[in-house]
Amino acid sequence: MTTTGERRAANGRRARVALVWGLAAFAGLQLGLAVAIPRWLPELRDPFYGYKAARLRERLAVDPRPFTVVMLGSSRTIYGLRAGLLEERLTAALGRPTVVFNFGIFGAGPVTELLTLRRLLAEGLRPDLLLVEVLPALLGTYAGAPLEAHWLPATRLWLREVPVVKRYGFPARELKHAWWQAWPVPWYAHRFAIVSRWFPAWLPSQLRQDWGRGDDPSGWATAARPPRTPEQYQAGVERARQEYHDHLQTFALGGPSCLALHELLALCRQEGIPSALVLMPEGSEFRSWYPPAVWAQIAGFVEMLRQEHGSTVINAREWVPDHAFADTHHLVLEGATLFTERLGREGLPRLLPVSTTSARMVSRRRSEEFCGSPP
Amino acid sequence: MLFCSQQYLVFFVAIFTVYWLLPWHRARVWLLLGASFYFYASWNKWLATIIVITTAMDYVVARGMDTFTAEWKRRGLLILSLVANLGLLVYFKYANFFLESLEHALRSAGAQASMPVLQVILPIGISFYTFEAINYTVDVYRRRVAAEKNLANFMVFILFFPHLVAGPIVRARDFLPQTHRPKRWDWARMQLGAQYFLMGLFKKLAIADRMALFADPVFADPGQYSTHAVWLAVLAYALQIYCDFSGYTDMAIGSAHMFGYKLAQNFNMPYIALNIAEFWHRWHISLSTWLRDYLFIPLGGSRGTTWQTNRNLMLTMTLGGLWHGASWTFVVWGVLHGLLLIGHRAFRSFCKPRPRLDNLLQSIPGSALRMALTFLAVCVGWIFFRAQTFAAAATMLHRMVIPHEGLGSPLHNRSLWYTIALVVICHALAYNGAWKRIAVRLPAPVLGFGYAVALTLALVLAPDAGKAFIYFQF
Repeated sequence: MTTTGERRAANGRRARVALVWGLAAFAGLQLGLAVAIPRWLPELRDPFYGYKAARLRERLAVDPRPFTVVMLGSSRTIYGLRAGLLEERLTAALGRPTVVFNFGIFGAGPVTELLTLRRLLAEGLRPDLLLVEVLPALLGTYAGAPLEAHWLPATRLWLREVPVVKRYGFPARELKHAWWQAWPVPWYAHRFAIVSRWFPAWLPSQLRQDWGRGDDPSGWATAARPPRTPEQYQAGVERARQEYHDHLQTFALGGPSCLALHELLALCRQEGIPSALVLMPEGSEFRSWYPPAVWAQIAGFVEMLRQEHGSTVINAREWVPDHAFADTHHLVLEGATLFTERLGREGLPRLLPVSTTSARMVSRRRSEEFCGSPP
Repeated sequence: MLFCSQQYLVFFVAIFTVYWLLPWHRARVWLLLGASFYFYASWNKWLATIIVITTAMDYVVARGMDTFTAEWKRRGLLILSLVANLGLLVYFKYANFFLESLEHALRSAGAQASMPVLQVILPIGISFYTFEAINYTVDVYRRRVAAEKNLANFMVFILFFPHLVAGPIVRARDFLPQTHRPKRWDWARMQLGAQYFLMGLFKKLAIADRMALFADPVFADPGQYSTHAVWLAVLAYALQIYCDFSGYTDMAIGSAHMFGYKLAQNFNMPYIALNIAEFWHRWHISLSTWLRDYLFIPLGGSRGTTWQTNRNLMLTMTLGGLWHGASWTFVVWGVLHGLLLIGHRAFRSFCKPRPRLDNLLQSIPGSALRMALTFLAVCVGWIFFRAQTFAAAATMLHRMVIPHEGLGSPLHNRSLWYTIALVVICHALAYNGAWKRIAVRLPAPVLGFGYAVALTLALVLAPDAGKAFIYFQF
């Protein structure tokens, strides 16, 4: 028969063992995921990139490898490029299978686009033609970090990318600190990616990170939701105004985002990847927010990029009528279709390599196309 | 700093480590006092100074009451303490409310009125530590408790950081003796503390903050939502407030255990109550017993006529509602519970001479019905507790009763039903003692692994940026 003292001692030993095992198991769970993410679950680190990359990898895992067109961009690209519509046209034009892939990422700007291209190249997902969305408002100088830093937190970066983004004005010390703070507790740091992956219905839409999983094979998920009433449209326009209008009034070209765009195009040249800069459609109201002097700066910069890097410029700003926007800069289904079809008719053909078997000859000259005409 | 923040983790680990490395009990008390002041000052340094000053004043008042024998002197000191404590509470918490209400009343009567708006910051936890100070000075006056001679011990009683900002409201006779007893390291107590803390963290992150995703959008604009969505939001809020508050209490109790202190239980599965009186024996126990001992009973309790008892109940619950916040919706919530308690007493009197009815109500179906009705009544009360305005509350109630089309639930209701199922299972395991039997039989490593999984799950299910605890605003 055990005495009270012996029972207490036994309880104490049991408690100690339970606590030590608890701490060890917790540490093990965290370490396990921290190791698993880079090896087997990379999409948990950056789901916005990861799911699309997985989808693209699937499309390219065929023999012979198809001609690959990839478009990098922001939500404007996500909603606006119905990449699948272009594949048949381009396949016919080239006489070989073609993959056109929408690699738009929410909140992406030049830095995110550059990181995306570097990741694609590192994974062997080399595009044969790269389209790069240029969001003019992101090309300005800002106090502090560039605008897109808000949507690219440390938890979405690999450690090796932190020094890269440092060059473009991202707060490197804070990023590194946040990265290392998140590393020991990956189950917490990547919780939205984890829950989005296995229990997406448990998260409100603004926290979900599984949008890329629902995309069609060309990476396009959906167009922007069309406003049901004029009031809803105006509310959307007002949101866009709050986001962009004031920036454009005090816009001064320059800064890290311009540098990132330069570096992206230089990388394309280095890799021998033809590139095109795409100015996505904007509604008349959005276009009216650019002071003339500001637009002149932007136009001059884009022209300089074209000359320096040999990129084509596709100015689609006026391609879509106002009613085909959800909020004066994100396209609804009709607008996405209009934009995509016109891109296929007018924008892409001169960018394609000449096909010796195709009846249609595509010009290889990189011609200037800066001032587009309305549809 | 919130209990579920990284800042608190660092703070707690640092204090915990130094505490148990110190071999002297007095030094530990001073360490806790310093840590508690730092904890409070992390919200606002100036308000931390106020609480130190009022606590010192109560210490002096209580020593005076112990020293003096003349009744008029002792009563005078008690009144001084009550006026000072309640005065501060009224000023910081209710002054603008009373001024606005007065202005509104005058304008309704046709007078031109414009009351000043005082620029005050509500000291966090003021409702809790004021009641603790009052219970102490009243108990010293009644000679139920001897005045604490050691200032540091007394200040730790009021300022002890685990319970400082949101309770439980600690009784001097329960806590002060603990400040005299040297603490010994006890693994079993550490495990108990860690278990409580983990349970609280899970309730807060994985349940309460997630339920807010259902409830907040609907309560913000109920007119947009369908009847189904409104019902789900009310259900979600009932879970949210329970898990938020009891989760905080569990973390407070757990933290205290890990320093060798025991705080009183504050919740005992309130949603299984079979009637409203039982609900108040299970919900926010430290407040309901405080109201009973320091308000209801001094008013006469249930010793007088039925009318007097009902009056005392109504006064107590109305003031209890007002304690929660400076808003008429809280007052109405209190009045509603007062009416429910009065109704319950009347119904009990009605059933007493009717044994068949009484037996029917005690049966399993009868008990299930009583539990459901009690829960429904409590949920109706929560609508007033949570709603920003009476109009919003009225809209919610209207939509609950009359079917309406509208937006669906802000989130897929699958996670709500799974959460409810989990809470029901946990309640069942706790109620029939199964959890204790299981926990004792589980091998220690398995138990430890269970802790790790529970903590990981809490972290995975945590929503965006940490939400403050609901009761921090009271």
